[in-house]
Amino acid sequence: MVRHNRIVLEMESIPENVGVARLMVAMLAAQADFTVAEVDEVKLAVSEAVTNAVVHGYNSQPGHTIRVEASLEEDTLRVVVIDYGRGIEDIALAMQPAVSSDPERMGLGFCFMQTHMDTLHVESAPGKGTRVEMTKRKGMERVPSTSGN
Amino acid sequence: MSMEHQLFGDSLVVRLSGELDLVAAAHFKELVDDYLDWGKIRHLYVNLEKVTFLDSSFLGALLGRYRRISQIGGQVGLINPPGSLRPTLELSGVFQLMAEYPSEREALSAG
Repeated sequence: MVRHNRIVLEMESIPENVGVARLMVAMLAAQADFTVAEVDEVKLAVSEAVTNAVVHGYNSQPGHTIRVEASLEEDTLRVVVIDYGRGIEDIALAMQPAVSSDPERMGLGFCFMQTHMDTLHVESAPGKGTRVEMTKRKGMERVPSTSGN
Repeated sequence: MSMEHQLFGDSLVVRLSGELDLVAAAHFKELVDDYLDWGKIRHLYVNLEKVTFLDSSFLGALLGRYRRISQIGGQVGLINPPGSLRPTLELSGVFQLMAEYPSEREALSAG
């Protein structure tokens, strides 16, 4: 079992890369013996964060960079998803369920991140980008905590 | 992800497998909207039996099709969603909008 590891991925802002990020983080969680159910939860949270970067950060435009940093420290997996796109004006509002700037979407992205990870921290500046940091400890009864600034 | 579909009268059955995210959402939307634009279908049944993962992008596409089909008086049904997807589906509230069927046959005979 792996106790310390770190992988950084920089990728193009295209929908096909959401699955790449999901796979990378899932493999890291599996190295640390996260359960299948825990890995599924991590995959969902990563999928939501990277999708937000593609769809909202960059308005679904290719040619931009999304950075995913995933690290393992003992029992804790930390995932950071960064885009350098348009940013979020009001983080608290964006994190409410059913708030989405796109009618095709359900505004569930942050809700899934909050539900499935132990911590979620979002930093964003309009015009500069968004940084989402999430952690999950394995074998934990989840107590969701969130913050934003 | 793979997607196949079959028409039964005015009911479209879409069989999905693998991981359903932003990529699958776009394909699914395009397929179903094409049938809807041509007025060929009234009901949609989505077979989730072989799906291993889905996220809010796909749920959003599903809900968008539900809205269109509701407007023409049709119904959307989910066929055999695996237990591993149940928490995500429940959190999204789709079970309050869409009926669930254990098989395609039962979905089609109910519609």
